Amino acid sequence: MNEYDFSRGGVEKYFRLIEHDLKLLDLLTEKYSSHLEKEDFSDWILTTLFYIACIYLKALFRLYGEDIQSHYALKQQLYTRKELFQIIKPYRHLEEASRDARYEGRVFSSDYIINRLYPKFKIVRDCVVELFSKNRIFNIPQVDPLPLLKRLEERSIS
Amino acid sequence: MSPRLEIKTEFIQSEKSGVSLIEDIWQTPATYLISRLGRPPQVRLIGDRYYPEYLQTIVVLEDDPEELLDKIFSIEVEMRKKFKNINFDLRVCVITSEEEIEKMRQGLLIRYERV
Repeated sequence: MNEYDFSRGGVEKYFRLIEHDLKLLDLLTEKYSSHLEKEDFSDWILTTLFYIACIYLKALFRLYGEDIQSHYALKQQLYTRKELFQIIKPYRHLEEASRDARYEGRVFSSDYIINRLYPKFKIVRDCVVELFSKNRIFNIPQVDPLPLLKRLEERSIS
Repeated sequence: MSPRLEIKTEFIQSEKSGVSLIEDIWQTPATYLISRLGRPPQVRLIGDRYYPEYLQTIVVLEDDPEELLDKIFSIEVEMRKKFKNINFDLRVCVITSEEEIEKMRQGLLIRYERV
């Protein structure tokens, strides 16, 4: 088995993980039970969005034969591959916002998530999907969390 | 009136501390960032925190307009090239609480602070 076939086999689990994380986002953005309705889970909504972006990249690096086990290692790869230069800044904004959420308890408005962070997620996703396509792998899920994120707008209006 | 700004210029001259001699002055990723970033009003402080395995450069912002983040992450790309032999982590955080900013200062070697 050559490296390409080996890597291709290894990416499937990440494809499933992307879809699994989207389901978590679905859970986090749906109407909460009454005892939770005043809770603000925008920190974990944003973090889940970041993790999906992260898994897209992890899948890509798996395709390249790299097994990424830390955010630091992922960044190292990001800065050394020319085809990924375009996503460095969008990815870093997602990452730092997620760190603020996890470590500093920062919460985010629906406007910030939808209009500033979602477009950056999309840049990362589209870049990875395109690179998979160039490697003749077309079954990568192109998930779109926007309809789920729009629920936050509806919630803030009501 | 624009806020008074202060740049602290102490440098630790030890390779073990994660600094390098570049262009005849000792620079860390934080001091390089300061020199390239200028003095945007949203930047509260920039400092270094030393861990045994790596150096963490921390930027505390009071707000994060798109242009400022874009500039910081552009400079980070330069920093990755300039300090390629140093394991550093750039942490850009948005903190507005004075109490939290004070906690962030602990253990931080401040390189820049808006006074």
